[in-house]
Amino acid sequence: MLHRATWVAAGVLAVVAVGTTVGYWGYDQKQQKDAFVRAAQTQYESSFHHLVNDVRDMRTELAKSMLTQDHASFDTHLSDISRLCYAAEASLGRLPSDITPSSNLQVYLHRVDSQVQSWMKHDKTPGDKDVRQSLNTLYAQSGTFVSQLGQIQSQLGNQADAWATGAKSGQTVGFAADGLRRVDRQVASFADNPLPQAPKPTAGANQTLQKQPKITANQAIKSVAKVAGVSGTGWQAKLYRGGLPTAYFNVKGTVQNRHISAEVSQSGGHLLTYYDDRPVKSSKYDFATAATDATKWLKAQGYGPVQRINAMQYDHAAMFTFAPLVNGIPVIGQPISVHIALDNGHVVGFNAAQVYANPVGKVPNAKLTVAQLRKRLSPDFEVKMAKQVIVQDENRNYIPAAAFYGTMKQETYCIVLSAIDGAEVKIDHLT
Amino acid sequence: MVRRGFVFLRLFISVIALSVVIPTVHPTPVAAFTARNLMYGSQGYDVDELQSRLRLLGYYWGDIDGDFGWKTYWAVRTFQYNFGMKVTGEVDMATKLKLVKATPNWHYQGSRGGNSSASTTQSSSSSGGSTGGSTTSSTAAPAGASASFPASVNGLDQSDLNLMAHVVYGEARGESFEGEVAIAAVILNRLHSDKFPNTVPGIVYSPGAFSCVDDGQVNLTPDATAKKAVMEAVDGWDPTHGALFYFNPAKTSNAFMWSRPEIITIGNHIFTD
Repeated sequence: MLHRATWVAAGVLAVVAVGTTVGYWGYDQKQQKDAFVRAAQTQYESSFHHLVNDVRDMRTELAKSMLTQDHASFDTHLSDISRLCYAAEASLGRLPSDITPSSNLQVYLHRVDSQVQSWMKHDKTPGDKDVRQSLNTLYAQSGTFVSQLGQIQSQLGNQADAWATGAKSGQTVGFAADGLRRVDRQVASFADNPLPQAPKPTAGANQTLQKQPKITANQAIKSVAKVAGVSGTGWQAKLYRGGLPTAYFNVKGTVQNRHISAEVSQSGGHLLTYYDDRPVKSSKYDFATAATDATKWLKAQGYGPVQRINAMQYDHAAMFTFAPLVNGIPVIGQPISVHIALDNGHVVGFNAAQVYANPVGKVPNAKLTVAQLRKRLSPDFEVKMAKQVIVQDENRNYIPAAAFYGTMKQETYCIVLSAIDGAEVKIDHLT
Repeated sequence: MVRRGFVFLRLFISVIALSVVIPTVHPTPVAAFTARNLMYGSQGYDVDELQSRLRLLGYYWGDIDGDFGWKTYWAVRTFQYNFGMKVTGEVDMATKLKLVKATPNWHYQGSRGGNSSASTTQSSSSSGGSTGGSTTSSTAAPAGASASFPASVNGLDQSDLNLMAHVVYGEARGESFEGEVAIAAVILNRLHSDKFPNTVPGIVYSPGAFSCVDDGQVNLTPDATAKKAVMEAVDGWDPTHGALFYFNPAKTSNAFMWSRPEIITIGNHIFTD
């Protein structure tokens, strides 16, 4: 009897021991999971606090810029607005992206930032009527969401479940998440107000392409097959953006285990892109010869005159970038890429989509010469090369400009200045 | 007399032996420009030699890395200008001859830069001897060029490109090459959009933005195809035509994603506006 009881007791003890161990393990796992969730929620709360503080301070700087008449102080306030918008955007980016998938608040902050940067760039003063009007609008608009965000912020420490994952939807819910959603929806009603919208890239393309004759899918396949040097039997072409002037055929085909992917415009039958995914295993072909070949190949495709503006090697392919010339002046912003396989010198990549997406229209006459613009550069910048170029300004209009290539502190930069008013269009740090 | 003769014989044999052994153990490299022209973007031993010769003359201040970048370009232009040549920034035979003549004391000291593959390829090309002696360009480029990204491409630095390659590999390995380029293109489209953070890390690590970040697959080491896909996207290939979002219809029930206007389907992903 005692022997039997001992066995039963041992069994019970074993079950209890295993159960306790499993229970403790499960409890530990839950504790760890909860800790991760709390850590994530703490991060969200931190980001939200930063966001609210940044937009509140941004609004304060808007008010200061409206109050001052001193040009130097005005620029300082504009600079602070820009800085705070950037910081607020960064804070917003650290919150769950499913809360504000439409990103209206992000867009609003970005546009305010762009607007004040444009004012600084063009040396606007606090007395300018259009500036005052815009500042008034921005101040009124920001007041609405700053107030609402502040209300959510004040409740953050008092309520649980500010950020939680919805059981069914899998989306972030909770009073803070829901509140931010409401704010984002509200901002959508005035997100487009601060800035004039830049023209769509296809606006010029529409005018250029709609006059040209349309091609069929078979013609598109033939033109791609010709580039690949094969018949194109069994290849397929699918039309995208049908009915629009920018419609194009996506052509796909296989040649000896190589996949060819290309795009041909329906209007005019222009080859827009061409890619051959053949693996290139060695570099037997001369790079400089490849550069010459790329230029010749472009000419054979109907592109010319062009100027080579960049070159590099990657994965046994020579990658060249060309700029089309308009009246002998290179156009920056319409890059044409040609990739040459360095095992046999054949073209394995080509992209001229931007040439048709952003065609150059009428370019205004330059008011400043390259020599005059050169005087506006920093004395720390040693100019080694200068040339006339055509670039797109912040509103994506083509303007005449001068590109200065040179060095500062042994680093190479390219500074592009507008030949209209001398304003800086962009500065690129080159390697 | 016979003994002295043995001594001379031993000495003679020793000199002969040393003259054979020493060059074998420590070969003396020779001036080794090949026949190929060099230009911005060129890589390989020739560039390594070009840089070290220009540095010897005081025209070049960068690393001897076998990559013909801007610093090399400016150095070549300055050299051409100072030596009364046509200033092109490209190194043809005339420039090479002038450079070799101007640096008679230059000796090969091995590759000192990070491009180790550049130096490994020089052994066969340098066998041609002096400048222009070799007519082959078969060893012109480094064999391991796919190993790492360039320092900077179109405003994106190496860390951005690496992070993009991690996302591409985590999100789209197993897709076609075009499908991988498409993922990289979406990241770039977001970078240029005012709806998303202003940096590549900001976009990638935005909570919930990429499933591979949520499940940790972003930390897998990307393969050469993913890296190449990133390079193609950065160079301008956008198979998605401006898509900002994409999803796998078999795995997503997200109403927002399904509500977006479809641009194109590539492999298992639908790309949307």
